[in-house]
Amino acid sequence: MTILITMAWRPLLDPVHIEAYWMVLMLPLVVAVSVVYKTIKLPDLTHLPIQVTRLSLQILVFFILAAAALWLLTELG
Amino acid sequence: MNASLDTNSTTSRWHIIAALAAWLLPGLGHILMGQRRRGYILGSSILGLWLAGLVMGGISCIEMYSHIEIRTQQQRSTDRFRAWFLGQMLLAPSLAVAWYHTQLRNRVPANLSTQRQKRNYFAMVDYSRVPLPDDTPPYFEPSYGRVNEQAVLYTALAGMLNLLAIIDVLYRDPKTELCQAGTHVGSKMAEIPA
Repeated sequence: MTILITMAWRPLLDPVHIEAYWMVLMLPLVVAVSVVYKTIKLPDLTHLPIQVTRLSLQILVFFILAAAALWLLTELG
Repeated sequence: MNASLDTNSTTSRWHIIAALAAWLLPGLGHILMGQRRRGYILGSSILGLWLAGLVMGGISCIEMYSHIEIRTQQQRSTDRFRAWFLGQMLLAPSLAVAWYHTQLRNRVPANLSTQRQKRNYFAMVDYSRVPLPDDTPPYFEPSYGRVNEQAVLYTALAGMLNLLAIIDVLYRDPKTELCQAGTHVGSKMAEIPA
């Protein structure tokens, strides 16, 4: 174990130990999905930032609602 | 430019070369179709997501088979195909990474000569973090748990988003393109020239 801990981190070869931040890492995922979807879908890209923000927020709200529903289901069920 | 990439044509609908280019490098298909801005945005977002996953989980997050046993020649048949790889392979660079990962996984450090040392080394690379007694560092460190899940999710989702971009350039309906170009009046589309 000591070897792997003391060994210098090698980008792309060794993982980054960010287990504690997995939930925060959902945000870039949501933004990337919104950007790609809207870039493909919109005929004109001038309103892209607004549309991406709106879709990202919609996805996040539904994430939270789904999480709340599942929490209620497991806690009360 | 190739006729198949001509966006103004009302007859050519299938753009095989552009789709292939989009698979090789995200956004390249749109750039070849003349939609540079769209291509750059798609390329940077998809490649950014894929690279973020690779940096997070390391090279071990992209692999075709999961190695569930300590490998010997007899046990190689126990390797199972990973379904996530189907998503990851929708982006061509993933194939190169998977190939390189397999090369590193099967490479044995030169100072390990006995069969026992080699077996221990593979055991460490495959699924445990137990170091070798003679302090041989591995060629890469495998990722586990949440980090691996997140990295696989990032890279596979990048591949699936790239599939959307590939489909977008693969088939273009001239009617839709004219509508997108703003040639429709109200809800009625402009008449397509024969």
